[in-house]
This record gives sequence, structure tokens and C-alpha cells, in this order.
Amino acid sequence: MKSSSKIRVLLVDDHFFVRLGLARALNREPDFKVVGEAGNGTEAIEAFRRVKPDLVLMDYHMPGRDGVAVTRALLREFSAARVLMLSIDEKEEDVHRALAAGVAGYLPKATQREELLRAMRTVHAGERFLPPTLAALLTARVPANELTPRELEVLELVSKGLSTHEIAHVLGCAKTTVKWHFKNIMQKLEVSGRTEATRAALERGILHVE
Amino acid sequence: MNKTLATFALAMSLCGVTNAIAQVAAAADSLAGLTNSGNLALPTLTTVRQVNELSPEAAARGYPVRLQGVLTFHDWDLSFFQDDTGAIYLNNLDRSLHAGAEVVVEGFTSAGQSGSMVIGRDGAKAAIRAVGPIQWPQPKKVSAASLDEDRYGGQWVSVSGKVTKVASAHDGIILDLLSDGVLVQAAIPRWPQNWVLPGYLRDLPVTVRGAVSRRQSQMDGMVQNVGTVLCTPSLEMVEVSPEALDDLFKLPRENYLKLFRFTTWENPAVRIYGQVLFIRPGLGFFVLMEDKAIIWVQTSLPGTLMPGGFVDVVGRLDTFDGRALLTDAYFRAGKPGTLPPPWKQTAREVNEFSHGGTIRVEGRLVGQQASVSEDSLVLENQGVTFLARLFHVGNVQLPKLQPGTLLQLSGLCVIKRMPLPENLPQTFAFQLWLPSPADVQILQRPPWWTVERVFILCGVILLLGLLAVGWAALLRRQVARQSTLIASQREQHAVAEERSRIAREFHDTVQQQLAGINLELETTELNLEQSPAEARKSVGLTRQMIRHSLAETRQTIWDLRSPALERAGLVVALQNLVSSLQQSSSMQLGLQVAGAPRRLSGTLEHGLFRIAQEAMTNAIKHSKARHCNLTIDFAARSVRLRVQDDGCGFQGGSFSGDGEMHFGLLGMRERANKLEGAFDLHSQPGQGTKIEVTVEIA
Repeated sequence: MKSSSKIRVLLVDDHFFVRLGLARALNREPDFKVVGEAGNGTEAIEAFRRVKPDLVLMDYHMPGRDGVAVTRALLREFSAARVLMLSIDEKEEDVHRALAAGVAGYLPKATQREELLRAMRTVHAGERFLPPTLAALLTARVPANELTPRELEVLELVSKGLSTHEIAHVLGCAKTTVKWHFKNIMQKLEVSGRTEATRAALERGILHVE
Repeated sequence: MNKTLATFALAMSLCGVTNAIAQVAAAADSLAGLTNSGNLALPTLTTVRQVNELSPEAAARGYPVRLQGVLTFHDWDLSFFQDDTGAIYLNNLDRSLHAGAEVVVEGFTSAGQSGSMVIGRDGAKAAIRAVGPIQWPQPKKVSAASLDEDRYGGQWVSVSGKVTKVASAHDGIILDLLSDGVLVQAAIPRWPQNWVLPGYLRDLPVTVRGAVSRRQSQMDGMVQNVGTVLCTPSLEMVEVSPEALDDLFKLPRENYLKLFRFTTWENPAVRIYGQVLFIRPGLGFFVLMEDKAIIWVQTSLPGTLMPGGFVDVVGRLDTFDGRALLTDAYFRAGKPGTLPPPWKQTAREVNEFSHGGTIRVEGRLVGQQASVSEDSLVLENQGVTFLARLFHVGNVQLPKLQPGTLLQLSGLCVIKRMPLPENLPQTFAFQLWLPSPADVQILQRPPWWTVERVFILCGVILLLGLLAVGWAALLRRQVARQSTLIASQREQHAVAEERSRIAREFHDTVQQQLAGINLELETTELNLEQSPAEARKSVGLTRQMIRHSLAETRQTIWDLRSPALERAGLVVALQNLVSSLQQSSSMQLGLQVAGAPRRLSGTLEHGLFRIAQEAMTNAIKHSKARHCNLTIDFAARSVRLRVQDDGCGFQGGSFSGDGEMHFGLLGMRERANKLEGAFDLHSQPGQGTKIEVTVEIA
């Protein structure tokens, strides 16, 4: 059943449950049609070239390249591509990164079906869509790029449970330097310890569970 | 004695006649002094008599004096000066001067307690300087009885008498001389302490030269003469009467054995003849007698003896340690001669048989000691230890020798019996007296390996060993600590990785699956209103999804409880999997391991294991195959897992038949995708199924 009036959708998600759920939800709508599925970035780009969808539902977390990277690649090749990002969690840094990469909208996967459809239609109409909760999160965001690359490195190693001594060894610098970096990190993230810093970094999407 | 001598003071007590003359002379002098207007005009006195003849008052005026004469005695704190006209006491004890020297004395007269004196300017000492060689003045022959007379005070005299006693007195000796029934004492200074006394003089008639010195004592403020002592500068001033000596040497010569005829308690005088073997100045010498016996002659008689020269000796017979010896001996040197060559012996032979004599013996140096008077070498030969001694005469000295040096020594063998317990070895039983340093010859230098050096070397080696052991222990401890640290870090890392893997499992799988199920439930809800048939289908799908999710979760939790995979690795885990599946299946299951098996990352091992598990479970459940083979191939840069069965197979891409198998395949594909690996499925109905997962390893 070919209909030019339907919005042709490409599902990009490494979880077939999600693809299955989305496909079944969209396909019963009169104005949507799932025209392709992809489990990772490479498959997504191949599928896009093949089916030229009107809209891409892009998962954030994927093996290999993540949704942000794939979005960038897609937009480089197809500047008119409309990408709506779906993510299992809603972290300010993720949202920020996705928007920076050029997605037209961002939704948590737990979003109600009606909201999802509205968002897809909004994005397809050429507008951006962000749920009010995420928009609020974004305005309150402490820009993570306030953290220097070195501080990010330190934060990452801290989150892996390395001691100050080990971090100094890995980065090839003095223990005092590491301590100084971490002091700055704690100040910027407004936290007071290693565990809190790690939790904050993960919650806000500065760091991700690999 | 010295004290006594120290209280000596010269008394120039002049007799009344000379006193009167002196007074007349002084009067004349004082008249001359008046005419000569003062001391400066006083004439210089050039003879002792002029000085001695001054009255105390005149002497006190300080006549300039210039005397030339001989110092007749110059020792202890006594100094006597003599010229042709008389003798005088001087208070200058210049130690660079010796008795017998011709000197010039310059000074001024002064009134002493008992006569005129010559002193220096302003009370200082008179200047004395030597102007000529030793030249003894002719002594005045004086009888012992008249020595006390004033006119002999300080005079250089000779007294004849018989020696009755020889005694030591501090650093000198005192001879008692009996002359015409009067006892006179002669004091001789500077007798070396270790020298024997000149006892040979006893009972001999002698003529003694010396300066007459008064022994004084102060009683009630009055100085009195209490005795007279002859100050004799040296033993050479004691001349034995030649007739007496001739008488002495009229004794018959004895040979050694004959000496034993005498009883020694009264020390009879005996005469022997032989060659001088070994001389110790001031102590005596060994004589090799004609019957080859060797005898020690104790004497300090000065004389010129040469080793090998013949000597005629008269001495008092004594015994010591069973051997005869002569003490207080007088001797006359005879014709020169040569000693028989040394008799070469081993130390043991010497110890057991030799009775002394000149021997040549070898020995290894054990130790060396040097004192002021001698060098002594401790030597060892065949277990016998002996001492070799070189007595210092003049500047003779042995060089420093290295212990362990093998030496050949020639010298006099002196048997020393030591009172030792019977069962103890006789150490130092004999001594070797060395005539000169030339009698010590080095036969062999000591080996480098002295006991001391070996000890030092052993010490150094031990120290190095200890250091090495200590270092090794330290290193081991450090390594152990490091290993523990590394192990704990690895463990921490493993725990962290496992925790993060579990987190990802829940985050990725459970959460995502629930999100999928949630979407499907919403669809179901919509369908319930619109199409009951669709709704039923939706519910079925939802249930399948939940069942799949449950199974996945159960498996994840089971994995957590059986850490076999983390501990033993993928290959062992696959072996366990195959053998446990085999227990409940009639299908022929097999496992091949190819390539180089190794440990992979936890995520990869888990992922591959879950795929293998799913694939094999699927095969057992659905394929109706007879065989199912699991292959794991470890290539250099990749690992490949293959599960192949010879079962019924299915239409590729169509999963219509069985939902669970459908989900299982999708799950495997999803896992392979997560591992960033390639997933291949080959299946045709009736041709079995092959599932292949290839993961590149960076």
C-alpha cells in the first residue's frame, strides 16, 4: 500500500523489542508507515539511502556509533533529513548533544504514544519538538563544556573507581594535579565527593555507562 | 746514692797558710783596686790558684776570670775543673760537655759558702766551652788516709787499694776500696741499667783515678764535711794491677767437664779458654770451649772481642739450670779465629737433641716484635715454635717481615728450659740468637692467602652475600606487595567491569525491553476498543515479549550466580554448557576449539556465550537434528562462533512458525550487534541451520 500522504518512517534502534513496539504502533496509524529498520549506525545510513524516509526515529544509545554520531553522518549526507531522537533516559547533556548534532526533536522512550505521534508530526512539519520537562532541564543546564578535556578525563577515571594515585599514573601527572583538577570538577558540578560527582556526571549525561 | 751525691758540694776549704796568703793577696789587690779606681780595673785571673787564694771579701768583688784546663768530672750535679795550679768546683752542668775535655772557663769570682767560686755575670753560670780533645791530666798519687786533707779538695788524684764491694747506685756504681786499712768510696756514673755490675773487680788490687769530692751536711747552720768520695768519670779510670792479673791467669785452664769437679756454692775462680761465639755487650758472651762445650761468661768488662776470636777467661763458677757458667769474669782477648760453620738442623732436632751451638734452621714467621733493645721473631717449624732474637747494637735492626715468610736463620741456639707441665709441648724451648740481620734470609715470601686476608675475603663475601640476600628479600617483598596490588587492582577492575556489564545489561536490555512492551501494551489498549482480534494478537505478542524478557533476565541473574565464565573463561564455559545440555538431550552435541584460545573481554565472552547458549537451546528445541556442533575459532584479530545442526531448518527470514525461535534469533542478532560483530544465519528447510558470529578484536 503505497501512499504519498503517509509519513515514511525509518526506525533506528538496536533493540528489536523497541523496533517491534514502534513499528506496530506506527503502522496502525493512518498517516505513518515504517519503511525500514536498522539496528546500528551503518545499517541506518544504508537504509536511509535505500528508502529515503521522511522521518527517522533514532535511538540515542547504540553499539558502535551512537545516535548523535549517526545523526551527524546522516545530516552531512542528507541535510534535509528529519531526525527525532528517542532515548531510554533523559539527561540534559544528552539532549544538549543531540540538539547540537541537529536533531529536530528529542523524546524519552517512556513517552506516551499520543505525545510521540504529535512529536513526529511536529518534526515532520519542519518544526522542532522538545517536551516541556526536557526544555526546562536544558535551561537549567550547567554546561558540561565548562569542564576542560583534562577534567573530563579525570572525571571519567574517577567514575571508573580509580584512586587518585592510579589516575595520576594513567594520565602521567602528579597526584596534586589530579587533586586540583578534581577540586575544580567538584566546584563546577556543585558536588562534594567522588560518588556524588560520578552520579551527577551519569545523571546529567556528562558520562555514560559504556 | 744520687741523693747523697747531690748533697755534695765542693768545699774549697783552704788551709790556714793558704788563707793567710790569700788575705795578703787580697789586701794587695784592694790596694791595686784603689789605685785602679774600681772593679773595672780588676785584673783578669787566669789560674785556679789565683782564684782560690782570694779572700771571701776579695772574691766578692768579682774578679774577671779566664781559665784553661780539663773537666775532670762532669756528671750528676757535680763539675770539677783542673789546671796546672789547682782544682775548682763549677756550677755549670752543660750536658754537651764531657769529663776529660779541655775547656776554657770565663766568668767572675764570687764568695761561696766554703771558698771562692767562678760564676757568670750577675749571678749567672760561668761560660764553659770545649777547646781541645780529651786529655786527662796526670793524677796526684794520694794515700787513702790523706784524702780528707783540704789541699786535695777537688783535685784529680789516684788512690790504690783492693776492691771489697761493687754495688749499684741509681744510674751508676759504687766501688768500695780498702787502702791501708782506710775505706774509700769511688762513684762511677752512667752505668747502663741492664748491664751486669763489674763484679770481676772484687778482691782485685786496683788504682782508681778521680776528683776528690767532699760529702757535706748542714748541722745547726754550720756546713761540715762528713766524708770524701772519689768522683771517677768511668770504669776506664779503674786500673787493675797487672801483677794481680798475671796471678789470676796462673790458674790452670779447665775443660767443661772438669768444671763439675768444683762445688759451686762458694763460687770458686776458674779459668777457661775458647772461641767467642756470641757477644752481648754489658752482659757477657758465649765461649765455645775446646771440648765443644758452650759456656756463658757473664761480664761487663770492656774490651775488644770478635766472634771467633780466642779468649782466656777467669771467672767465678756457678750453675744455672744444670749448666755451668762463669760470673764476674775477667778475660784477655787472644788470637783471632774462625768459628765452625753453622750446623743445619730442623727445629725438632734442636728441640730434642741439641745442646746449643751455632745452628742454621728454617722457620715460618708467625709474628715479629721490636723493642728498643731487640727484634724478636716468633717462628714455627714442624709444630715447634721458637724465638729468634736480634739484640740491637748501634743501629742494627730487622726490616718488617710479612707473617708466613719462610726464613732461614743462623745463630746461636740457646736452650731455655721452661717449667711447663709434662704433657704440654715445649714451646720456646730454644731461642736463636742472631749475630746480625744478615743471618736472617728469606727463603720464600708468604703466600698471598694469609689467614687474615682469607678472613677479610670471607668477611667481604659474607657481607656481599648478606647484602644480596637482603636485597633479594627486599625485592621479593616489593614484588609480593606489587603483585598483591596488581592482583587487587585487577580484581577491582574485574569487579568494576562486571558491575558495569550488569548495569548495561539492565539498562540496555530490561529497560529497553520494558519500553518495547510498554509500546505494545498501548497498541493493545487501542486495539481493545477497535479490533478485538487485533487486540488478542497484541496480547499474545506482549506475552511473548514478556516471556522472552523474563528468560533473558533469568539468564542474566543465573550468570551472576555462576562466575565460571569470569573465572575459567569462554572455552571452559562452553565445554560446561555443551556437557550440561548433553545430559538432557539425545542429540549428538560437539565442541571444537580452533586457533589460539585466550581470554577475551568480559563483555565479549558473555555475549558469545549467550549467543552459543541461545543457538544450541534453539537447535535442541526446534531443529529435530541428530548432530549439533559448536565451534569457536580464535584467529589472530577476530573470534568466530559457529553453531551448526543437521536438523529441519527453516525458511530464511520467515519466522512465522515459532514466535519463541523468532525472538531467540532476533535476540542473537541483537547481541551480535551489541558486540559490534557480524551475524550470519544460513537455514533452508531440510538442510539444517548454521549461525555464525564473527567479532573483530582490535
